[in-house]
Amino acid sequence: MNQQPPSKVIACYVEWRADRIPDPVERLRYLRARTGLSLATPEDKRKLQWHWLRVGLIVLCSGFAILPFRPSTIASADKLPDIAPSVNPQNLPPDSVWLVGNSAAYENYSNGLRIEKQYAIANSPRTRYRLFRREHPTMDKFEWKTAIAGIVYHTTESHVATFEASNTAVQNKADLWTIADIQKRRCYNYVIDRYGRVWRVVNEDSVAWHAGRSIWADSTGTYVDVNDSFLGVAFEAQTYDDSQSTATPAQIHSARALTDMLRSKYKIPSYNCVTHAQVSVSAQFMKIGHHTDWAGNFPFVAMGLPDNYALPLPAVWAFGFDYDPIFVRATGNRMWQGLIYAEQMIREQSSVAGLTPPQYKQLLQQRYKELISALYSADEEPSNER
Amino acid sequence: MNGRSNNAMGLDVGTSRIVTARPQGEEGYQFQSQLNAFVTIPYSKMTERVLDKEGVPHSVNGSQIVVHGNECEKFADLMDTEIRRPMTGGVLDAKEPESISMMKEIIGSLMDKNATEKPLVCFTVPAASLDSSESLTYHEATVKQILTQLGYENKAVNEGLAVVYAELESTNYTGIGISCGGGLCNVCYSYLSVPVVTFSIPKAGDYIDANAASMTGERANRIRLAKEEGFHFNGYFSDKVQQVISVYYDDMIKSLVAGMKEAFGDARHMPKLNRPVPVVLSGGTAMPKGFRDRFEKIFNESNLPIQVSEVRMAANPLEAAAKGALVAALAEM
Repeated sequence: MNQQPPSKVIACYVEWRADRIPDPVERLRYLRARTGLSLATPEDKRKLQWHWLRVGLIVLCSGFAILPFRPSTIASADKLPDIAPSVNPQNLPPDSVWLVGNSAAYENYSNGLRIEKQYAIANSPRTRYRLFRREHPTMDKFEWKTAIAGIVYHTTESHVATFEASNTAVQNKADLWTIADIQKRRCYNYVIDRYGRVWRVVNEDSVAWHAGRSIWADSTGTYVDVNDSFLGVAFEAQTYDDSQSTATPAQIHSARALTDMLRSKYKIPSYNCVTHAQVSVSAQFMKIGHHTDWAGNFPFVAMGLPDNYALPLPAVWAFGFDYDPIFVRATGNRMWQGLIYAEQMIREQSSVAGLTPPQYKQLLQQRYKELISALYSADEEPSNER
Repeated sequence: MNGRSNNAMGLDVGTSRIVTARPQGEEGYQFQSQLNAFVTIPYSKMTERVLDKEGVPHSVNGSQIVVHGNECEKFADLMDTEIRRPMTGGVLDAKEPESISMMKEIIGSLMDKNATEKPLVCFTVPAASLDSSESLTYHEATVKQILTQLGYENKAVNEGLAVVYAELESTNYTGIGISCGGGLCNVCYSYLSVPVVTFSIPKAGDYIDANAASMTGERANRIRLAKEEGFHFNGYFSDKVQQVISVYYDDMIKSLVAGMKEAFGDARHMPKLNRPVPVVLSGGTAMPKGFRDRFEKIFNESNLPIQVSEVRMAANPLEAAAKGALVAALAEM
């Protein structure tokens, strides 16, 4: 019986019209016709198509069409995520961070970051990856890219002791075991241990197998399976029964310094600094959140990033992926915004296409399946995930 | 009302009462109700004649006369027997062999037999319970079948949503409608007429009656009468029955608010509104004096994830769901 509420754009228009209908039954009739999942009349469809056409023209004329997201300052849930947002300073990389010391064992950076290199190894070299177009990505429309485009944050899900002085020896031992294991499996480019030490595990110029089947999108295009295009940074942390991970203050401090360094070095926009839960998908079940690490409480703000949980999830709006209650429970309130925005985009795009949202989602899912099938018949199978 | 059609009807199918609503004039409504209960008495020609003469709804079933609707309570008292009910917990009682036939009789007795054109009937159905996975399909399909057999085109409407349709036209049907009935408390959070979250809890009037009866050793009927006739929330009760009723009322309200917290916290599609929404209470179990205040107090203490502008009683708590079902029927035409 529960139904999806109408999107905010449609709701504003519908409510404005409804307020002008004095008769309560007439008003209800109008609301029921206009808030259904598909619009009732061809006239409405035409109106909405014209509306979006006008919006599109305005956007094109204003020259913002190449920027797909509302910038990461989506602080207000009352606003829709635009397909063409304005420029936001928070999307720009931080001030330059540079190398100030380099030895066989560590690197030091101008922002105080120290990277331990004892465990650093090479893996498959980063060569090139396909950046698909942002709108309606298909196999025949892509650009070859080589630059690192973003960062995916993970948790190691390894054993962690209670964060107190008496457990230091135990935790130190666990740290080394964890890092050695990660090295063996080439899981991440970096691991940040409980005390904030930053360990390089897989060199930046090598691919770490951290995100497997995954999807993200930015202003330039859509990334499918982001191992080749995004760096993997893991916090040594464990997700407990309430599906919430915790980072220590030292980890957050170091993660911020590492993020600033990487963003400065590779010119990574803030909206490409995302969590594993935001990008991970199950292609088999067509569901997002195949992995749920940092699903709901990643400390974006403490790390000098905008709350990227508010970004509409590309797996949903670009490829029609669904989600299940387990994922929803794990996300808590924050990623909800991204899900809601993505669903709103689906509803709006579907009404423009003259389809119901389920029909439109099916179309997008089919597109994903075709793309993946073509992609992996052209390339090798994707890298494994941890 | 743009020439409102009279060819529509709202039907609130409750565990305790069945209520109909019909349009009256340009803006009015006319209500009728029957107790959703029956009692069997031994057949005799004389009894049947008296019942016919007095216009008491009844039917003959072999060696028994079945009296149903409002009058059955009197007969139950006379015969010193418990009334039987076709429904329990908001849906048809699977253990009551006469449930379907009795429902048909009672609904039929509320229909206008002289109508030349049969109206479109919107009937209320409960929402799924938070506590059980019991399917409501059978109940809805059976009521639908009864109405179809009686010759009425029909559609189901969620009971909580019906309360919203009856009471929240001023907010464009945005807000929370709650119907506290005999078998269930039904809740619907509606946004611009769309039922975004609906659920029910199995604690309602019958739960209070049964538990209070077992605590006091009284019969459930006696508890119900005490509840309907004299109970009010005033914080102090000298009478043990009143005290026990108050305890179970509190329990019901707390469960209702906890259910709202759970459902609204979990819901995937809860709209983020930039304005508070009203809450409307209806149903026979919400009738005691002070219920609204007690509900509001517990509600305010629970930190629900929504902002509420007001908690108020429906204009006619017993008839709100039927009126809402009628509004839904009118909107369907």
